[in-house]
Amino acid sequence: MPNITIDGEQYEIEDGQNLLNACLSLGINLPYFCWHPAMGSVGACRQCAVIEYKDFEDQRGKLVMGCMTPIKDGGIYSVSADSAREFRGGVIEDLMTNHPHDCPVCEEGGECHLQDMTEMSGHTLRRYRGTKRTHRNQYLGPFINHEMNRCIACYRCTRFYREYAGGSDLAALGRNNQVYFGREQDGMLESGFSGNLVEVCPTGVFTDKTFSEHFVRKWDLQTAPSICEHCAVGCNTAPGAREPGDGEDAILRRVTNLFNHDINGYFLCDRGRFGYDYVNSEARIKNVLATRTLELIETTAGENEKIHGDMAPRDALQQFADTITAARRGRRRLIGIGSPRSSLENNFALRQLVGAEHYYAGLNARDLQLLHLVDRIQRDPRLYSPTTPQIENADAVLVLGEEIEQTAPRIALAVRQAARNRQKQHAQQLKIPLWQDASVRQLDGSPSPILLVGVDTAGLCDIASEHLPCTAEQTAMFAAAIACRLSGDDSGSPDLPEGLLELADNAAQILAGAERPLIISGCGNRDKATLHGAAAIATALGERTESPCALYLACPEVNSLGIAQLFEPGTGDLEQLAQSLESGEDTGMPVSVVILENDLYRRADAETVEQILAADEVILLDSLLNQTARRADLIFPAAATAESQGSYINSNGTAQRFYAVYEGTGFIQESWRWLSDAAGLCGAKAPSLTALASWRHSTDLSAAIACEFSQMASLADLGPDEDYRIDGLKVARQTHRYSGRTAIHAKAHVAEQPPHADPDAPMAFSMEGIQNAGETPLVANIWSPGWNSNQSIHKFQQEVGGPRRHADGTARLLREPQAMPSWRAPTGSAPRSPAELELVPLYCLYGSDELSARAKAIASVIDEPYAVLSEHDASERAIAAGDSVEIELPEAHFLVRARISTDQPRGTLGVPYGLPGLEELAAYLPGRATLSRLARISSTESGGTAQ
Amino acid sequence: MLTNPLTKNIGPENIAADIERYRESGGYRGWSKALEMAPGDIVKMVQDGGLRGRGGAGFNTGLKWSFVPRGADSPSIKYLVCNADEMEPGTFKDRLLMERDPHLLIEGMAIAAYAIGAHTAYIFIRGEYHLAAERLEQAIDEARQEGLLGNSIRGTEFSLEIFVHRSAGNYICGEETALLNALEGKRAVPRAKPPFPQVSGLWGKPTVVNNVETLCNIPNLIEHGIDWYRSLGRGEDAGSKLFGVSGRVKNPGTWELPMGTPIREIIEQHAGGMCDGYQLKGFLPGGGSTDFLGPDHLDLPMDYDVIGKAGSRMGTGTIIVLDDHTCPVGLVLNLTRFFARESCGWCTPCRDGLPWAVQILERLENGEGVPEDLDLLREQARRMGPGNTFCALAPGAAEPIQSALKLFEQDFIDHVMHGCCPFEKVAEASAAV
Amino acid sequence: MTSMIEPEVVELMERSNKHPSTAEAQLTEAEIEEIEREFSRYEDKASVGLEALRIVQKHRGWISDETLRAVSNFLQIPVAQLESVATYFQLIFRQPVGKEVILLCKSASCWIMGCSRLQQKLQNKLQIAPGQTTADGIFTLLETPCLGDCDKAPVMMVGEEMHRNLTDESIDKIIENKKAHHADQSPD
Ligand SMILES: Cc1cc2nc3c(=O)[nH]c(=O)nc-3n(C[C@H](O)[C@H](O)[C@H](O)COP(=O)(O)O)c2cc1C
Ligand code: SF4
Ligand code: FES
Repeated sequence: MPNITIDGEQYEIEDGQNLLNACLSLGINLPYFCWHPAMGSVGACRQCAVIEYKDFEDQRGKLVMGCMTPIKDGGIYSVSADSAREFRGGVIEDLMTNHPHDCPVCEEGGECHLQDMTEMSGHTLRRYRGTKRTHRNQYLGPFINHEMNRCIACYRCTRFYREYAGGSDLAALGRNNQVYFGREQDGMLESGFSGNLVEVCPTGVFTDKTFSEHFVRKWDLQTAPSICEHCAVGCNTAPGAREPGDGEDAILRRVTNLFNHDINGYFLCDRGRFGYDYVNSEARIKNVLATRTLELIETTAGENEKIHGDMAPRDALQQFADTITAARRGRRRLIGIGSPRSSLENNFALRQLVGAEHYYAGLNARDLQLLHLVDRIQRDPRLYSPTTPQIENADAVLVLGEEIEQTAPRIALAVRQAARNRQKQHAQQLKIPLWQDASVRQLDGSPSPILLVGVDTAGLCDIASEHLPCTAEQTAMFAAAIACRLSGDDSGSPDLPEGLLELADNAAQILAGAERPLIISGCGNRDKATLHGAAAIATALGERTESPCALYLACPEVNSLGIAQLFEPGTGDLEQLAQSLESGEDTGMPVSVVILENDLYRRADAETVEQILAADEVILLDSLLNQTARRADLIFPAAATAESQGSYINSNGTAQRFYAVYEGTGFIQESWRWLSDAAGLCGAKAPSLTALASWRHSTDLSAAIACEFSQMASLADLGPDEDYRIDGLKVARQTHRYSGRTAIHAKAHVAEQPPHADPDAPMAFSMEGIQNAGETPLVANIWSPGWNSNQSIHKFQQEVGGPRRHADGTARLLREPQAMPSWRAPTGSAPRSPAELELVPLYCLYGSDELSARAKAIASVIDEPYAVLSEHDASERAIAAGDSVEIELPEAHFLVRARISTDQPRGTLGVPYGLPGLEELAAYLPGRATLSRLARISSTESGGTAQ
Repeated sequence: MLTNPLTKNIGPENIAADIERYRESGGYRGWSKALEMAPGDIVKMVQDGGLRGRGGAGFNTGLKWSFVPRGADSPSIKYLVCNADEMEPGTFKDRLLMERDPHLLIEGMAIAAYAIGAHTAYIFIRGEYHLAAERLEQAIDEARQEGLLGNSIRGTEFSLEIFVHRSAGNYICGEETALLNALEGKRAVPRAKPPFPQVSGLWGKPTVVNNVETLCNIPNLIEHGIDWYRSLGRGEDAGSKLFGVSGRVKNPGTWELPMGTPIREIIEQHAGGMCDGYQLKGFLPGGGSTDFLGPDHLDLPMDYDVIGKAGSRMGTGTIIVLDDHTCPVGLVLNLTRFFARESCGWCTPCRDGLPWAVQILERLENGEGVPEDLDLLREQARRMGPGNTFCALAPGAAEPIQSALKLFEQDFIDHVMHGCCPFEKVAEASAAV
Repeated sequence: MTSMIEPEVVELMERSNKHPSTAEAQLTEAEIEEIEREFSRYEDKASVGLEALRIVQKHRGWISDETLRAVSNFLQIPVAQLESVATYFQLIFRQPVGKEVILLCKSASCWIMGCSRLQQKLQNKLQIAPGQTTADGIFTLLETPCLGDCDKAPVMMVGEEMHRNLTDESIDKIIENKKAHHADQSPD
């Protein structure tokens, strides 16, 4: 390890870094703009200047850019030398010549890297007397504001957007000091990672438009570490909440990234960043609702749908308790239906309430089996589930039947980085350090092999070395062929067309030749064979090299893998429930169904749902009114992720805890608390109920889960429990600059109200307590003196870009290793009638996820219901793009607009999974249906309707 | 003995030497000789000949070529690029060579490409040089027809295609790495080094970028040898060079003279001295991005290191003369405006510092300056010093500013003291002459 | 756009900012042929972007939004990337120009030799400022960096033709000649 001297102090540091990186890792403040820990150096801003001396005799030294200077053993540097300081101040002064100094009205103010660096440079007096150039701002869609006058031209935005995230519609335009960062013309930024611009931009050019709608300063936000609930990657987030100031309760205001080295690093996708707003939605359930028996003169409710009115929580709980008592006494059947979008704790509480044998997963058989298969595959010792940095490091990637750009976007972003590994290798040969970003990117380096196979490969096809649009069945056969080649056992190789065989050969060769091959697949095809195929390839590779092969399997929802842990394979699906309800009909016993945070209409076919919802009593705990809620007799308002504490298990088997950011409004509380309250009220005194009623803290449940399920034993030590204190204090959720805490409630109470206590976490809903507990996983307000922006994260990392210095609140599942049995690809499926099309699920970043689809900004960009068919199938049916067509199933039909794509495999109809308007179609995917064209709407007519 | 290898075909009339005329004077003999030599020997010869790059930096050309990886395991594709972006204010030498003797450049490029193992070469020419581009294209056609370019040249295994790439403006395109980006159809922002172009340049392949005049030196150097070439120079540096003078001299123009020709000789003898009624106040020895020198530097020989030691740069060797009727503040403002406009916009001191300097100079020139402005200007020039910015544009821009503040400080002070430009009247009067 | 502004105003601004131009333009056969000829000279299609713009501009005088999109479609280069290049290079015109573009050299030597005064003269004669086009659509006046003919300063370029050692008289003559030339060309 090289020894260096900075300002007379000796340091020993990690080799291969640049000086800026080293300084920051050593805790020395050195201002910078264009450098970014994840994107490296380009030397544009010239802000990080330091002096480098030849030897101890050298008194003058030479000005160098910290970010562009590789550290040398024995190097002598000065950050504080006058000449360096003067230069850095001068750069700030230059940068500010065109800056409008509009901090008071700028959303970035108070967490602005430019403000911080200006302070740090010590430059206080501007001597510029000229006019400032002004730019016209662009409309960039519902997520991002644009204020170009604040730009300091650090080029981070386009470097992130284009080079890191692969976007193509944002660019540097013009030249000299007229450069402009924008689109060719106004319009929504197309990349699904555009939200990161908000954090990547060191000033207020790109800001969060959804936040602007209910803007407050960062220091006025109350924050806690949370987990993004919009897919199964498990990105760590820092949501912020605050009261609106009119005496009302707090609202969730925004989500920003919370660094987790192994999962999201510095970046989130736009679904995760802008999806939070569903909790503020008008459809939010805040009170207890119960069916009304009033005679109504007129109603908009459909057949079977119930009409609800508020009910006092106490009465509702009593009604719930009576049901439980009746069930305990054998007079009622009490069924619990859990949910993969609810925490382990909530699910476990429901299981505790109804008993394991009456507890169902809230998934149809296919989806639950898929999750169990994922779980089973991940136990195989020949493979491992990679972290995000491991994915970025892969030197050959095969994506099989999973649209990760839509279903696990953060993973897709990681794969984009993997595509550069050849180039990086070339750089290493030339002894160019990898942080020299511009140098590395200008090298000749054919992209690393990235192979995409699946129904929709469009998302990543710009970086793909090969992409093969094909059906799930072909995907599995293709995978089997590769696996056979890799294991050297050709006997079971499926019959593939010539071209595909060649491709399979090629793929096998590439994967076998790679040092760090990575296979990615998931539940997206809703097809077991796809998963098996991916596993077969990965295990074959693992066997060849005798070291585990990386296999990432994307699960559909935030806690999919968690809920799978609560069930034995083969049990707990909704069809089984429906069947048992049907067969139980003759017992005549009334049935009560408790549904936990789940919209059954998205889960199972109409018949199954009908069977279940026909129960005598339907009790629902949920956060948003949905189709299932319309059928419920009793609805309890459930806390959303940001309002509660709990644990989720992500796709790679990592359990993570999230903490309540704020308390939900009205009567909102965690589902498990409702269940516990009801259990407490009921007359029956079974031990399980007593236990449930006695749990006071979320961690009581985590501990109970850890006890009962050995693979989840690590849940018990996910984070400090509620008794934890630092110097006798809890951790403050509010900043020490939090303002107006008395005044904000003055409308309701003149006297200052005591802050509510948090029973679950050692954190306070106030500014009292430890402000900067960065050494624990408990803080989301990452802050350090002089570092008000998110860039302060390096103060909490082991080294710049490295893991957090202390526990990050994650734990891997501890599953028994178990080798997969070998597998053969299925040979052909039942023939399809020529009129039929194979329905295959497509996924949408905006729309497929139930909750984020209800966030206002996201809802505004969700597509109208559509379906995609191949050119061939379209012309056969005389369907043109834009036609209204009807998807006909035996039990249901759906009206959609036709889209035509050359990549859509023939004979298939791509249907967007869960898209608003098509939610109920989800349960039929994959499946078969016929398609018919409705009368084509002529342009004049449609023009007429638009008026 | 041949003393004007660069201009021997340039006649008085404004027409290009065609291939026949070019051959009559011994054209393409260097190329024939080169084809019989080992590429490595050519590199060595050019290096030993002491040819220094005529694009401004004066780097030994052979040495530059020697950095190109060679041998079996080196990349099979390599490129040669001729930098014909000539856009430095006061520079007008490459145009002359290309318009009047295009074959000399073609031959030089052929030899250079052969020496480094490139089979494709580009002439990156600024978009305004229509005539030069046309004549070069014509010359390339002629050379192809005679089998001097194309496949298997002269029965050897060597093939070479030369393409003319017309640029679309911007001075920064002359910076060799920005030029490569422009050739790749990208924004002409300079690239980070390392990697140097010789290792990873155009499309990531080993690439040599040379100035037009540099390449024009090659054919005769190869044909007549090192000793001859070295003997051409009068001072420390080898070879001959195109020197030019513009400004208020009697006979502005370009001449091929030995390296090391004293400045006084160039200005007084070749350019005919100052116009009547004008005195030499100072001069920029090698284009707009060099430091001003004063009358007491007139006896210096034009050699890279000599001019360097005097505090300026020989740059392109084209001298801009500042006379005593022209406002030095105005001239610096003019130059700074140019550089501010031509900044690529990548690094801060250049992108934002230059426009600010322009504003200060404008105020000074308009008589609105304050005494502190001079310090501010000095500070800015210092901030744009070598190494402080990403490429050499800004340091080049700083040179006239900082040197003018030294040499013509009194003029700057006068502007502040008088609250107006003391030169205006003179300038107008002289314009009326 | 800050939160301080009324939402209605914001919406209005956003709407007025949105003017997606959707008009289609096609490249002509001649243009396509010329562009395709360039393909063989460069390693990849994306590198031809700037060449293509130059070629199309030669035919059309300038690059309109529609033209830009047509080139982008043809070369399969994202339009933002092409715009990024188009707006970078000063000889790519993203605004309409006259039939004759006058590039008046404003650099050091020409400045010393009095180009500023000649510029005044030219502007008065044409009744336009730099960057503008005469009412008859014939001339566009642009200031340009050094044209590399400093020993014959002041100089300017009209179309593809250089004019050296400019004087008041020679400027008059050049402009009149051009005017006459274009008058001949027009049908009346
Ligand atoms: C801003 C800037 C502009 C330049 N313009 C030119 C130019 O127009 N022509 C040229 O030959 N070199 C120019 N150069 C120098 C080139 O970068 C490069 O050094 C030269 O082309 C190398 O050729 P040589 O070794 O033959 O001199 C410029 C350099 C800078 C920094
Ligand atoms: S000095 Fe900086 S901004 Fe100026 S041209 Fe060079 S890289 Fe661009
Ligand atoms: S951070 Fe080093 S130059 Fe920008």
